[in-house]
Amino acid sequence: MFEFHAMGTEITLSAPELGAAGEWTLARQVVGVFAVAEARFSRFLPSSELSRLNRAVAPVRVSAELFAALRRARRYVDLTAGLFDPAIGGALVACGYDRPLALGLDCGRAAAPSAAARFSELELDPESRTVFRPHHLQLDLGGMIKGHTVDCAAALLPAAGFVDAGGDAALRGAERWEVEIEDPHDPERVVGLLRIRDRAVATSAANRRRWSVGGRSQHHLIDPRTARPGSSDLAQATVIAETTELADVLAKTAFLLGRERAVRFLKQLEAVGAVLVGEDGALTVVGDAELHDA
Amino acid sequence: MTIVAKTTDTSFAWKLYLTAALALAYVAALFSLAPEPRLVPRPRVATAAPPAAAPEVRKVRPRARIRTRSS
Repeated sequence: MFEFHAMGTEITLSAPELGAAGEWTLARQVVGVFAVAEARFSRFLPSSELSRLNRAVAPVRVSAELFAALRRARRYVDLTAGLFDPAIGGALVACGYDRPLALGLDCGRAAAPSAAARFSELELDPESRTVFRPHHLQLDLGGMIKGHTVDCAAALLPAAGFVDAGGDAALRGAERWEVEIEDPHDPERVVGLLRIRDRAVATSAANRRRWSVGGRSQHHLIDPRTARPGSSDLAQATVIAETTELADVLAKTAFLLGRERAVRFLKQLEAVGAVLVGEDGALTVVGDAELHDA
Repeated sequence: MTIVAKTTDTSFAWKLYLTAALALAYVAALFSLAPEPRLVPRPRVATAAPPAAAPEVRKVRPRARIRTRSS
């Protein structure tokens, strides 16, 4: 089992059948997969393709990879009726999240107002792979791309193994992997255990990526309806899905929807399961998920 | 009756040939002295930041379980 740091979190991978040498070679490949994705999609690197698109004042022809990501994002925006919306980049900056969290985001000034922007305002021309971005719209593909990168890395795994990016994980193999769900009210504890085979899992909560701006607490789960950090009666949403990317998108959406609407929304999706932790600590298990004692 | 025209003054023609040959030799010499075309392409101006240093990969103790959490 090997570990390295990328995309602001620890990446762990395991492929026991390869042995130490084979696992090491795989780890180096996975490092490359994350490095390429981060260099292209990070909104914190001025040289990234996403940053160039966020600065562009005219239509831009983008790479096939970025265009494909934007098309996937559009499908997720439609699937979630706009609760997942990568056009929240400006809102994140207005809330003070304008650099990696590790550099420290706390500051005394009040959060700036943010112009409302919706992903639907972005024009994509598939013929020329050209993107027209209205000037007030800033993209952030953070969690979605982290999930996609986990999926790309997991494609390199042999029959059995996993790639875990700080809790967003793809788990492969005939045997079930055990996945503990952290208690959002006490990170030292877990609320239960999932047994997952050939699926992916992702969790969204407002307890970890937090900072303070002008004395007010902020977090990274922006509600596109208000362009401010979202709140609901949920403290955490964990989703099991076919891909890590989809699990990440659905976990964010469920968190913003709140318990009742999240249950209705997730139940209508095929091959999706979820464990929701309420602000009151109550657990709700939805669809294709079984929660065991840890 | 057959009329045969014959040039008797060949000095002009010889001068013309000689001038042309000298001009050609001069042009050839000019080309031979010119610098050879560059075979090595000029270094390209970097358009992207160099890749960040590869992160340290650590071997960790195998765990039976992983933990999912917000990150």
